[in-house]
Amino acid sequence: MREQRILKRLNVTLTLQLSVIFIITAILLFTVTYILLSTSLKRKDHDDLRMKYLEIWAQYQTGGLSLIQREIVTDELLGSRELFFVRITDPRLAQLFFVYPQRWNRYDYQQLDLLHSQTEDTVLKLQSEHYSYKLEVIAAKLYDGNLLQVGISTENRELFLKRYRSIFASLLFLLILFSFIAGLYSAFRSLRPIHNLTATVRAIIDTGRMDSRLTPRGTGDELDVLILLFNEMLDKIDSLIGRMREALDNVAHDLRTPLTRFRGTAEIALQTARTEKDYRESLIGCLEESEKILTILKTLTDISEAETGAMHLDKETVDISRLFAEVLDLYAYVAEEKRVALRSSLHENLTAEIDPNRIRQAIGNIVDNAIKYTPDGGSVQLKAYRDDGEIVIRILDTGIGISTDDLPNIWDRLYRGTRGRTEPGLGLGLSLVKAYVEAHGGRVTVTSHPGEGSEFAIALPA
Amino acid sequence: MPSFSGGSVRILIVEDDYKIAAFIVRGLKEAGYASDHVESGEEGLQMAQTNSYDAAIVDIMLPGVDGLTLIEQMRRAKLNLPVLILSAKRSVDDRIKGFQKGGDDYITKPFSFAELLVRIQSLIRRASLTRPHSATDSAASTALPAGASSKADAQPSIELSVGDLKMNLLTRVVTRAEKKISLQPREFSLLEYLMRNADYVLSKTMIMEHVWDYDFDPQTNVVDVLVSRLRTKVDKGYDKNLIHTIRGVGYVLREDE
Repeated sequence: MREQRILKRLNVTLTLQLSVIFIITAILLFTVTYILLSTSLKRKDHDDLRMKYLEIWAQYQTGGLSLIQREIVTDELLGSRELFFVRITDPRLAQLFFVYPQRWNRYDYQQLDLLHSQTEDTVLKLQSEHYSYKLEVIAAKLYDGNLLQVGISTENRELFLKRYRSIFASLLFLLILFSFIAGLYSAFRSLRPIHNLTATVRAIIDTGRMDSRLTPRGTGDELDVLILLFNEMLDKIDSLIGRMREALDNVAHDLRTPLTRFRGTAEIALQTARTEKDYRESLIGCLEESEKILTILKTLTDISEAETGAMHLDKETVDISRLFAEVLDLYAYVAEEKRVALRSSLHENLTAEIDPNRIRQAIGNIVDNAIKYTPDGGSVQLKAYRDDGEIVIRILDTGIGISTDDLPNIWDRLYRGTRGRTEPGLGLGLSLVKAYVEAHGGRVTVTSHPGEGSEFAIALPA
Repeated sequence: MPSFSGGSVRILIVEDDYKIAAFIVRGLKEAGYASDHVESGEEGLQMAQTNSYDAAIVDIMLPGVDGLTLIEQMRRAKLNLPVLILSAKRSVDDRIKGFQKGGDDYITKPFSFAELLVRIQSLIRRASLTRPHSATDSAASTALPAGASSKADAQPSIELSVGDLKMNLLTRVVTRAEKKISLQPREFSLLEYLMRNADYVLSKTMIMEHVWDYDFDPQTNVVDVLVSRLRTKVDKGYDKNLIHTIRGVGYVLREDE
């Protein structure tokens, strides 16, 4: 699969990056150590050389050439002869004394004539193609004008550094090998949760099962946060799908009844109608049922949209008194026909950030019900006030009230109640109210005393 | 239904559902309009370019070139005929998009044919007024329902009349058989709407939208109550009823039973 390939590529990239960082660090460390080591070795060699030079210079000073000769012969006899050469020339560079170790015999000592230096501080070099190491020489004038040259070899130093280099090279090889393996392992380890995540997502995509969840590793790191967020997202999608599925079931359920009537009317007409009038009646019946189906469909879509959060609200600052006036205007004649007094009372200037069309319809639906269930001579009253940062709209009626059994279920879309069976749309009307108000972040509540009246309250965030 | 001289009003129908198109064609023919039906946007554009139509009814969901694109193409081709959009969606966004692309009116499926008829008729009337010298002018004026005249007529009529019912738009005096009828504002507004569309059936939804200006599904009997009040004032005590209920569809104001 594609994501597996991408992850593999990511794995290799991570490994290579880790190895490269490792190798660069190692090389840097070696270089610094090498430079420090070689300079300190060189300094020690030079110090030794200078000591030797001063020793011979002192011998010459006290005993002249013969003393030097004697000392060297003694050293050789004792076997404690150090590896250095001594050469003394007269001011015209005619050689007076020269002693050097046998193994250095292939150096071109003629070149020594060219090595003059003023003080014993300067170290000169003598090279030869026969040797891989050099001779380091101090050359300075003696008190009598003769020239003293003392030299030692860099052999020990070079050998040591060479060994150091070869050890490092083999170490580096091991390091690269190790770092690659370690990198591979660490990349694998850190990518494993991502692999798991990928596999789960893939499983969800392939099977459509939205109830799969990832287990956080409990380390509390970034990946755990990602896993938790991912689970949260799945929960959200899952519940949204659940609600949509439920909404769809409700649509199907609510449409079944009018569709049955529709179908029945047409079928019976085809079988039994005799006259044109019969046919006409049936057709009208069909039309009326289709009108009902359409109304239910529209209301259900609105409820679903509001409940799933897909509804777009055109919010504006709305004067509640204007809203009340509109509702009163709409229902004035209906209330008048039923001889129900429809009033509103509003003591303060109230405004709310709402979609006026939706909230007007919500209030309208409640008022509609209230008028319907309030007997002659009763009243329906609208009130609004501010309470604890909320705008509360109350609709009070003196109607027949709602029985305690029905009360908890009136917002339920499928619930018709005992008296509502002959009045289709009641359950839907109140579900719509609830959905619209909740889409605004508000609440709806109801209290009722059978025989005395009901009171609906819509609380909206101010 | 009004009579039409020669049936010279022609309407283009672009709709891929054959049955829907068939009943629109039949209904329009019954109302005196000739119509041509095509099933795709491509054919629609071709027909609109080769023939002269007074209006088009365009479905949004079409195979190939969709309705909105078709309208755009027609507008780009300088075809200014009024377009009524048919759509299965009723979201506000869709409606706005329809208008932006150059549609003139919008009707959602399922629709009542009465409503479609009223809308197409008012589109043709409006187009004939904004383009008084266009070829469709004479044809469009015949589409006006008998007895009713338009708000923005070239010679604005201040009086509407259907039979012995008369309405003066300036003085807002309504009389029937010379007897004055006093109406409340909403009643007046409903009667004016019915008279302007005399002989056309108006649905409850349309009345709701027009009289209260609410895009509101009447779960209520608000409209019925208003109509029955108006009927009491207009028809009670007269031999002939002018306001008729068309069950399952809506209401209509007309002289003959």
